[in-house]
Amino acid sequence: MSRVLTVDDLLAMYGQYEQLLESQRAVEKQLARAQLRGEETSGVRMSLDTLTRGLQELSDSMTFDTPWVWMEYKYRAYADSPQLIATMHDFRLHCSKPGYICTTRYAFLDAELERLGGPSLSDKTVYPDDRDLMHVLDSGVFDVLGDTFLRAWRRHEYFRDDTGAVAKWAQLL
Amino acid sequence: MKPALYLINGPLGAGKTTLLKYLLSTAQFADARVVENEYASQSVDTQQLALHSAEVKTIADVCICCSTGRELTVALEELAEQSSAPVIIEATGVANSLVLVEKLAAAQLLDYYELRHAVFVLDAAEAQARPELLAMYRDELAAADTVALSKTDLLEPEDVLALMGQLDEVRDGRIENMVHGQLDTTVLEQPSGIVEYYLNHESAARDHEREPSYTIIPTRSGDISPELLRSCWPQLVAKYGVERMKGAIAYEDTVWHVEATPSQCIIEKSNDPDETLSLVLIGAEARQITEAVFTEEMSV
Repeated sequence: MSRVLTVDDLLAMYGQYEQLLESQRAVEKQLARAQLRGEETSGVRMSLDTLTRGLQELSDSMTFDTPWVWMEYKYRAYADSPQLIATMHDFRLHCSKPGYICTTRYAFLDAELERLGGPSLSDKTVYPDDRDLMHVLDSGVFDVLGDTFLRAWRRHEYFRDDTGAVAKWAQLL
Repeated sequence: MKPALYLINGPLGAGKTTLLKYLLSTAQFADARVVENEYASQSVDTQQLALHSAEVKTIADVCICCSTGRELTVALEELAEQSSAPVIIEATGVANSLVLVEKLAAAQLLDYYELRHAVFVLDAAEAQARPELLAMYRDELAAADTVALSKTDLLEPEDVLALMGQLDEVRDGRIENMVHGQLDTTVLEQPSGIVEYYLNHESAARDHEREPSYTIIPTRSGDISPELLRSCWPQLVAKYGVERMKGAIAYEDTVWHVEATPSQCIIEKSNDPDETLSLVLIGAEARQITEAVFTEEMSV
């Protein structure tokens, strides 16, 4: 299992990711121009491959040990973006895209909360759209989640396929 | 033989999908495949396009922990392997065409495709109402092989001529009048100069400043009539800076397809009774429009 990351660790990694992304874009531009001009591209392509691999490795290593780390990270990481994740509406929207990992995480968490007799995260009478995501986190909503659930969460979050490659939530996607 | 690749771009709601649907209805593009890039996480246009095209690949709203960022490359590689039928990429309306060319070149996709033509669709009514659009999209207007001017029927002929004059100052290339997406397809066989333009100009930055937010509102309840939505639309535009609304509503046992831009709100019977009942709204403060806010706006 990977090292357990705090939200601050994850935010630092997100910062690194953005920096790498900037570098990747600059190299991609260089490569595109060289490619179109018929110039030698092997060196710049190698740089791009290295950056792309670095981005993928960083993305793979960003793991959420618990649902609350995941939610707080989402809240803080996207605070300056046009599509921030500040309210339950934002969070549900973010987790609504079919086939995506966050959608799977949300469904898994929600199913467990419902199984335990708690309200669904999709219940707008309990969690109105304008409810601040941090308030939901601070409300003790996840106190009911036991070790069995967390073990299952982590099994998916840290899942690797037969080749050893990172495959977060692949069994449920 | 390399498949021909066509790029369609333009601001939100300009008429890109309308053009695409028209192209797919022509013999020339009957077997074309489509890569559809949706800004929001729900694929309204994909549902519509699936009625017209054999294969639609959708790339929608991504986040770094959910995506590898290689969706476009993977989609185009797969399509190139499948057949040599043409491929049309419809960009989000927020994407930059020159950056798209850059990505295609860097991924060596131009070795597998012949980049045939790049069309930039511009809504004439919007361009007249918001003259800043011409400055915002100056680079892309200049770089496109053809600028297709849509919704000219909403303007007086002299205003259309004036707009064409303004566009002439920005670009040397072709400007086509396009009514209801009907573009003369022979235009698309003219050689593309967008790669040359890209090479001769410092390419535009990947400008995230013009990225709007979006929201998705379920409309299953059946209590929003087309008239009500139409009448409330200007308020949503003014209050939340919404530039685009699309999707479907159900009212009195009928599914209505919705397509709206600030200057126009078209609501007509859907040709797909299974269309997802929700509305995607895109704009500066669109994310503030929750279901409750939307209901409140509809009741004002």
